[in-house]
Amino acid sequence: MGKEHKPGRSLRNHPRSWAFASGVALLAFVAVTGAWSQQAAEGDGIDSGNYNIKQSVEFGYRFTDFTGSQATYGTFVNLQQGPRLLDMTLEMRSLDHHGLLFDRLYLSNFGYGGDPNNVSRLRVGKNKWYDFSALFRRDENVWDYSLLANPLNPASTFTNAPAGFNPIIGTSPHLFNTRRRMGDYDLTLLPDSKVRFRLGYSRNVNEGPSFSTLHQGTEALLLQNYRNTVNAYRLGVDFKLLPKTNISYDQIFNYFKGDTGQTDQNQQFALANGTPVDIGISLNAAANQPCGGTFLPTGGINPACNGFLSYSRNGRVRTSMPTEQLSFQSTYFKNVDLSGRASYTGGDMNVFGYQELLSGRESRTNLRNNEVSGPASGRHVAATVDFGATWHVTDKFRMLDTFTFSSFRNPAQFGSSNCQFFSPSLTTAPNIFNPTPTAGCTLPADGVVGIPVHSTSSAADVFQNFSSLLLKQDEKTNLFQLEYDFTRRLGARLGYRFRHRAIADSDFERTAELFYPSNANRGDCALVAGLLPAGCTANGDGSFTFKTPLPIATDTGEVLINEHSGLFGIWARPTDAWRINLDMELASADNSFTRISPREWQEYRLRTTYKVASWVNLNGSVNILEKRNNVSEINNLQHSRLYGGGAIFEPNDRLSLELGYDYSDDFSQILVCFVSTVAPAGIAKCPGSTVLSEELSIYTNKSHYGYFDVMWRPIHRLTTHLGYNVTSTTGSALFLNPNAPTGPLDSNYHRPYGGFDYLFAKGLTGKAYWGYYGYHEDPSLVPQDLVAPRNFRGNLVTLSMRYAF
Amino acid sequence: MRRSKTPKRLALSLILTWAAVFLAAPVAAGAADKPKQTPEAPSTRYQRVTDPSLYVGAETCKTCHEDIFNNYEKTPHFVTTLENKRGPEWQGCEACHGPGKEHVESGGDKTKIFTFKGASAEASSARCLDCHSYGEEHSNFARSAHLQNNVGCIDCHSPHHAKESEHLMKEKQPQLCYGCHLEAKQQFNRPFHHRVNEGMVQCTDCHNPHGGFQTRQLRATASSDAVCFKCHSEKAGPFVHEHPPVKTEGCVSCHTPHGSANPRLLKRSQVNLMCLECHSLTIDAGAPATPTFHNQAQKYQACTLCHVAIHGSNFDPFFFK
Repeated sequence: MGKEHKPGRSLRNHPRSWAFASGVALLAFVAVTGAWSQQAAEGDGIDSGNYNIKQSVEFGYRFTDFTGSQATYGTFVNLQQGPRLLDMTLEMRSLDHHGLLFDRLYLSNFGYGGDPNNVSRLRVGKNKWYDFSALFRRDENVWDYSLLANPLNPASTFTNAPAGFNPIIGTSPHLFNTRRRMGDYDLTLLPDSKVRFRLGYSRNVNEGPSFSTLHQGTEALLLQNYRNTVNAYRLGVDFKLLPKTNISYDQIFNYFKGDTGQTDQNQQFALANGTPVDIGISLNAAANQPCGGTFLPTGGINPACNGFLSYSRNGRVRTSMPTEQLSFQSTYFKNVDLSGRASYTGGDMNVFGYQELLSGRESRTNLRNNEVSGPASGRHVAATVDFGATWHVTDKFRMLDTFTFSSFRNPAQFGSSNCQFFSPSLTTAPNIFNPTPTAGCTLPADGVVGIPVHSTSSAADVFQNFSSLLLKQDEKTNLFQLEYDFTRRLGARLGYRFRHRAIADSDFERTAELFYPSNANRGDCALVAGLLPAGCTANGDGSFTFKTPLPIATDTGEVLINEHSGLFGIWARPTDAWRINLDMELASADNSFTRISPREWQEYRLRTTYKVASWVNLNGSVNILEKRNNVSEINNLQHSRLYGGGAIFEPNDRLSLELGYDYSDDFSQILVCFVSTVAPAGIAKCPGSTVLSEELSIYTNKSHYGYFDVMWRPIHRLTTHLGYNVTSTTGSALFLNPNAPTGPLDSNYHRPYGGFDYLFAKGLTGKAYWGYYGYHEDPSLVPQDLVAPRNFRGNLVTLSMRYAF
Repeated sequence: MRRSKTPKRLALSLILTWAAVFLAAPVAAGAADKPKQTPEAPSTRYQRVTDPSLYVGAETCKTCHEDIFNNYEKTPHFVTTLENKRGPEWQGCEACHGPGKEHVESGGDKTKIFTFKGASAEASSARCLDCHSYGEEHSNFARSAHLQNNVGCIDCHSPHHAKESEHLMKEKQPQLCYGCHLEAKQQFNRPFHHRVNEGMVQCTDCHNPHGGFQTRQLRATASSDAVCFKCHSEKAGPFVHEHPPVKTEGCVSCHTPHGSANPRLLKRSQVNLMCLECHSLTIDAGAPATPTFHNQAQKYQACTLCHVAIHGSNFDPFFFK
């Protein structure tokens, strides 16, 4: 898979780039002298016809020079070298407020030319007739951070390995190089009338190459052509026919298309007969992964190994999601504000043409070929009712109530047909049982008639499986609050929230299986005390058939959770320049759905902003969230505490300084059960297990964030900027794998920048900016740039010209 | 299972609450009614004065407030001066500031007209909401966290001196939001983050600053799913094999959506640490425990290497595909 971004290049190596940038600057400078005399001051625009027009465009060139991990640079920054349309805006306003097609137009763009983020915004409207807005966004998502989904293979020695073989995986097995294009378009007709119409359309396309993995014997690396598309259509009508009341109806239709397919194109090795094979990416000789004796002394891969000769999987997922919504807002009743909404969604999901084809080997089961097909379908049924009321009892006292009912049900089923063929090695052709034909299966091209060689773990040769599952949740929440403004400068509120959740699921499975010899009495037809189990029948030719005995039980489960929260808040304006807000929530629940869902939690938030003087602004915030689910066998405690402060100094329009600091402290502890061959000695076993060890998994993450930004205009034409952002993270976790690096838990991310704007003439500004991106892990190791594989340093210089009128 | 009585109690309490509101509101409103509102008595409910003789028109305001008028003329609010179907209380400067005759006749006495500066957030916002509350975007502002914390419309918007012409904002996002929400600035500057600072995503894409029915003023998709699925649509499902917490607890049970030092915005630095916190042997726990052959010292520490379709799968109960 080719990567779009290129290695960094130095300025020294590209004289043509210098010439290009210089030429742009010279052209612009020359053009200015003629234009200047016709320019109005920037910001006023020019009047042309019936419109006032303001426009700006900034065009430039970016030079990049980076060292270190290209993968991490692409994941974090992904700014490459080349010309750029850095910014472009257009604003038009009708002078007489009766423009022919529009009265207002606003258009902005940035990032075009090669940046990973490109955005265009458009708003255009004509008084009383229409408002139209459009938003287009394009996003390049390069992901190659190697820690996640990485088998972290040890540096083990593989006997007879070919020259240059290295089991260490340096890239992410779930690498992404996709493009997301999102467009949102909304039109409102007759916006000021008693009946107005709204039309909308959104499109979201996410596509591109990526990697994925599949576990079957080994973990094969799959090439995944990612493509998902959503088209959403919206139609709405607002009725303001009743006094002080608006009623709206919306019809929304979302259509999702998932066309992502996977193939295995990672056959980097070959069998002794020259057949290419993918042995997967989990390579650990000591643990016999992918198998013992992976490489033969005579060359080639051991045919008894787990491996993929070929693999493909595809299916078309189509999900249609129509939603009807009725909403209203009303201030008809004196001193009472009402709003409400009710919506219903009845969505359908279908998978068409699902097919999975594998040719390879799963050594545990002797699987040699596998075909899976079958339809999948499901529904998403959701109903929501929201209601809110505010009663202004007096000018100082208010009562508020918000009620929410939300329910969803996701029933879905998959009816699969599976045909499996077996053989004892990658070089042995799969056997086709004879005389009974393998009905309904496509026989493998290299299959030979014979008795399949099964292991005791082999699944059925042919089976149909029908899975029908349901997940649903009903949620009812009511929040009641009292608000009182003691004075114009002090107010408080008190509230109580009750939430009831009912989560339920069910699972229904029905299976029909055909077991051929050899070892036909296996799986669901394994003899129990010498007898066939219920559902199994002998077919007379040595094969056995199994059908799930009737009646088929449905597994169900339900979790009920009741949450109670007390809320309190206070706001204060000691002076017009000073604002203080404090609010807190104390809550408890009588149950939890997951081990990490809290049964008790408290949240405290304090914010303050203070304009000390006309040129000094201070602000600060404290956010503390404490959670507990410290029942036995879980012992979960969590907290997230953020503290921050900042200041802005702007003594005049020629000098400003902004600086700030934030500190965050994340902590979690919970009992976990696991198996690890490097588990510390002496730790207890999990209750109910003689194999699983129990240990308190403690996670800490402390992050410091500091920044400053200085703007200084020593002379009218010259504006300089200097700034710095740094995020420093330290932490610890329970590392169970000796190869796992601390990675992001011990990292620094530096981003200083600086530059200047020079006003050549009215409306024409030249800019030169430098930015540095430096990411370092394991700062305790020196020299860190050589040791930590994910470090990078990038210097970016952007030269541009901005013209505005 | 024995049915809980809680839903019935909840329903009863709601009915009683709403009944109290609807039955008592007219009575209390009658008691709270004031004489015809004068400019000197601002209220948290905007009662427009309908006597046309008290209005002077926007051109009169311009004679003293020319700079403000010139700015105002460039904004969408100026269209109110073209309003000819309703009375002067809906037109121009006086549509927000109230009748100006007394203010003009007194030579500019600020106490004779409503000034937003110094008014409470409730009172000033009530004037905006009298026109702008109709529509899902603003209909819940009265119950929003912002207004409850005395942050009103003009704390973010400036009808006269907007720096950003789009929505008449005092500052563009996210700098406007960072002015109070400092912690968000730190989070979006972490290595892995939603691209808010890059301009790709705005705070208002996920949050409705004017309030809503969800906690933290989060938006939702049309099908009542988490707002995350608007962009991350392939995670929405429905799936045959759901990973239930994705739908019941939400994406934030595993991810920190603003920013994280951890890849994929996860709450933990290593995938297995995240998974083991739920998938550990616990009596009565819903999540299945990790099998005994999942040696965490080997490849099994990378859970998603095998359990790839972790947000839900149509084809495999173990999320292998």
